[in-house]
Amino acid sequence: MATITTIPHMPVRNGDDIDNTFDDARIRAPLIVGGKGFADVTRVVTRIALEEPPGWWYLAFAGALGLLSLMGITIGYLMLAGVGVWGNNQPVAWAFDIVNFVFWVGIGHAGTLISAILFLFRQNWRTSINRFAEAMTIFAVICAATFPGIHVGRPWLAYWLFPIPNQMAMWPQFRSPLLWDVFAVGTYFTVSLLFWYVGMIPDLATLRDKSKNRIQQILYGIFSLGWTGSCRAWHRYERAYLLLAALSTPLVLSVHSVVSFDFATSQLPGWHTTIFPPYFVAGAVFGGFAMVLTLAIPCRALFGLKDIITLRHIDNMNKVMLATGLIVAYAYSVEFFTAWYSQHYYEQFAFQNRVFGAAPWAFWCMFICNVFAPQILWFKWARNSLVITFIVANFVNAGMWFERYVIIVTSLQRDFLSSSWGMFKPSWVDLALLAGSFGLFFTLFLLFIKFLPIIAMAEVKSIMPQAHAHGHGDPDLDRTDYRPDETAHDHPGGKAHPAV
Amino acid sequence: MAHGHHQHHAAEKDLLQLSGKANGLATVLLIVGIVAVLASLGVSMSSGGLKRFYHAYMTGYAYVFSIAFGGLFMLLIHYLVRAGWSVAVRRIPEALAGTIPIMGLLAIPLVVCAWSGKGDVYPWAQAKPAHPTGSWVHTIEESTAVGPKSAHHGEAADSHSDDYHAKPAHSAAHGSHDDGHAAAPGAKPVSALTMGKMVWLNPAFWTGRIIFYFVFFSLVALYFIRKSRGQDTTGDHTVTERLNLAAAPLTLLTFVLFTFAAFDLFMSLDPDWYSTIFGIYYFAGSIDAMVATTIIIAAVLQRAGYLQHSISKEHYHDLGKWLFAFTFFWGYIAFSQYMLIWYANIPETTYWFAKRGATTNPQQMQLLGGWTVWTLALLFGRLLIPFAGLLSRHVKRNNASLIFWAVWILVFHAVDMVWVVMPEYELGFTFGLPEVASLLGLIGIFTGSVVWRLTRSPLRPVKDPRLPESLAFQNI
Repeated sequence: MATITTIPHMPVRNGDDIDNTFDDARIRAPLIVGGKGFADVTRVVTRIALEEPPGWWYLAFAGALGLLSLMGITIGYLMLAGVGVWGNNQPVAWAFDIVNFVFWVGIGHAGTLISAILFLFRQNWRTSINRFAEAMTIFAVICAATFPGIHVGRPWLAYWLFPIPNQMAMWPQFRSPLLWDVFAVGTYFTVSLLFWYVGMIPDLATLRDKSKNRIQQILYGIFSLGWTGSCRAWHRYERAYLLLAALSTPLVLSVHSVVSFDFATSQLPGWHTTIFPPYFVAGAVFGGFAMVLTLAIPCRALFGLKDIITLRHIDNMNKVMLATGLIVAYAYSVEFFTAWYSQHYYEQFAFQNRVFGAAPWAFWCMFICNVFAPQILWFKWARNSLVITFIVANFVNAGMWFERYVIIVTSLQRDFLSSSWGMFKPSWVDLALLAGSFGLFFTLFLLFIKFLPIIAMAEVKSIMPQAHAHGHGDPDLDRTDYRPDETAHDHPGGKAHPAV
Repeated sequence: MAHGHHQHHAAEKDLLQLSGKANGLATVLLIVGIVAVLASLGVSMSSGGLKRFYHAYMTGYAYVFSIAFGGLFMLLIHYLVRAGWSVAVRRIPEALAGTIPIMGLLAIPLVVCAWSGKGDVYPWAQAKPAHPTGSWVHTIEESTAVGPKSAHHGEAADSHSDDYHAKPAHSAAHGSHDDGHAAAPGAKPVSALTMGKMVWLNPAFWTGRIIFYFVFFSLVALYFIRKSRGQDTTGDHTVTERLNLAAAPLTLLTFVLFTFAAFDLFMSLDPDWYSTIFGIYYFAGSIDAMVATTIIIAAVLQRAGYLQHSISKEHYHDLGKWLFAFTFFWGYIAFSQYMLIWYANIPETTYWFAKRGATTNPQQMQLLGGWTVWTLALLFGRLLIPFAGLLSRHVKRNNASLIFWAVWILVFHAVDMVWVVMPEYELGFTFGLPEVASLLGLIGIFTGSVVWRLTRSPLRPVKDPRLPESLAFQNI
């Protein structure tokens, strides 16, 4: 048989990156490198949460808080003055508010994709990145939810978004996709939060056990729900995790599909097209992975996580980003082809307008960032270069924002009747809110880094060779007969051996 | 690991070469298939003529091509994502994909039809279409106003050829087509919209594209199959690595070309209508049908004594998950297409669903009643019932129940293909002997080809570097 039992030589790159991206069909590459054992993983990860944060953290936090304050002040001003302070007008009644909403909801897709769909696909490499991807998801959804909330015009009536029984028998329009959005995003947020929290319980218990500080012990103790690490607890935990993964999977599709319905149910050329639901989902995953990479690359360097979030993880995320980017490019192409094929005057006009019309710069920004830039990821040297990866990921972050701008604003600028045409120009409030939403996002993310386990320690340990005791004894040898699909089954309750 | 080794040693003794009887079976299936297609032609000639036959044939063709293509896509994805679990069952999708060259040959009647100049299947393929006139939007209105089945829609719409004002927006844009030339007697109406697409939809360019698609799909399929079989003797692991790399660009190109194949072959049956998601719609159904076929072939082979220890409950469980996932995915795509078109309610696209019976207009329902039932059957049989049925882990791990649902999906995939093709034949419900005979005939030819393909190599890879992983694979 063609299998081998020794891992090929893994060269060291960029100083201390062990390159485990080799392709040898006879063996699965190790996902945790550098000879790390369970205790090392625990030490590296708990240290981040329990010890005093490094200097850069305070700097970054101050910056994020500054932007968040900007958001707070701008929202205050908006409440006092009304939504007229935005650049929105007729015919462009939806602009930055909805662009930002869709942008942030999109980013909120990678976390659940990684934790739910990649879990069902048995992609073990997800364990190193799922925790902070999930955190990112939750914070992104919070940023997203802000925008429709402040767009209602009369914020003191924002609760009308929900179908609350009332004496006036006034109900939201159930036939409107905007209401479906409230349900879809609300469900997604709830399930993502549950999933994130349930997954974190064993790790919170580890923090509780490792902390020396009384307040930390009490707080981590409360949130770890009395976790003991018994076989029974593990068994139930695994069940709950699998069920939540299965529940989250359709949600990954549903949220952005429903967001796409906001546009696609209309009759506006450029909005009404049947490919929107899957195309929006692919775009969301594309943008989400770009944001995960944007956060993962600095984090792994700053916190010494290079042996846990390895080059192979970066490589895999790059591949997912390339694949979803190509799906997005496919959707653009099919839309353009169909606009011609439909022989529908306004369809054709809408797409010509995108490329050559009122605001072509937005289209070309989108095209260069989303279609052109990721093509470099076809090359392995580019996927293995952290600098290139980081640059491409940020191109995609920007490109996905422009994509929503193109869809929403440029379609509205050109109505059916030329008498109704208009242009959109963002006001300073629009720009401040966009910048401020990043402040909200990074404030939450930095707090998460400081106080919570940013790597799913228990899960990472479960995919390390030491978790699969096949009796060889020698840990080096153990690693080589590692089989990713043969995890907890052989060892009930042995998904991890957390107390090390 | 102990379990894996044990599994592996047992699997090494498995029967992997189909017996000589399989060749006889393949021949019988091919002959029966051809006879059934000819019977469909014979029956059609007495009820509806060539036009009926072409539509019936198109239905069967949509069915078998989807499964063959599904096999190709399974191979591509298997290599693209470096899958391990599926190695043991991979020869089945290889056999399905191996029939793609035959699918190319089976497209010849459709090409002949396109060149006949009558527009029997493709209205755009008429040598001299009557134009411009109202599209199906009108035809439905006219036919139902005159009364069920009484109106020959061609004449109905012809008499209203000046009725184009229903689309004022386009008449200006397409004014150049309004000059009007003498159409052949009995020519079907073709709308001004379609006239604008003749650059794309004309027999010469269309045929060129069809040939290109099939040459490309065939080359990709044969490349993967040949490499995989070569590995059976050499055991060279770099073959797998090379296919892993090749799969990335080839998956992309194959998917794009498949989308256009779906547009050209099936969406253009009604050249006015368009839906950007249509390629994905056909794709979703084809992957689901392919998984169902793979399950059934694996079960039949095991019952005949082959692959006893190579394919286990674990592989069936994973195939069952795919069956469930793509049943759901099909529903998601079908719902997206339907809901968005229904909700926006633009006449240029809603009529496509209306003529499939998705209407509440009483007169239209009287005419299209059969299709209304058919559409509902699709909703329940293709999505809701199998969704509930396949949800449980136990159903997927029990061979009998999994086979039941695989057969169910294959039946309702046929219902879907009939639903896509047959309403284009004429307004009103048409489904009968010609369609059944054509479907079964093409299934016969297809199955015969698959069996023949299966005889050509061991029933599972023998030296694939990821074979041990596949044999030892267990679901958590």
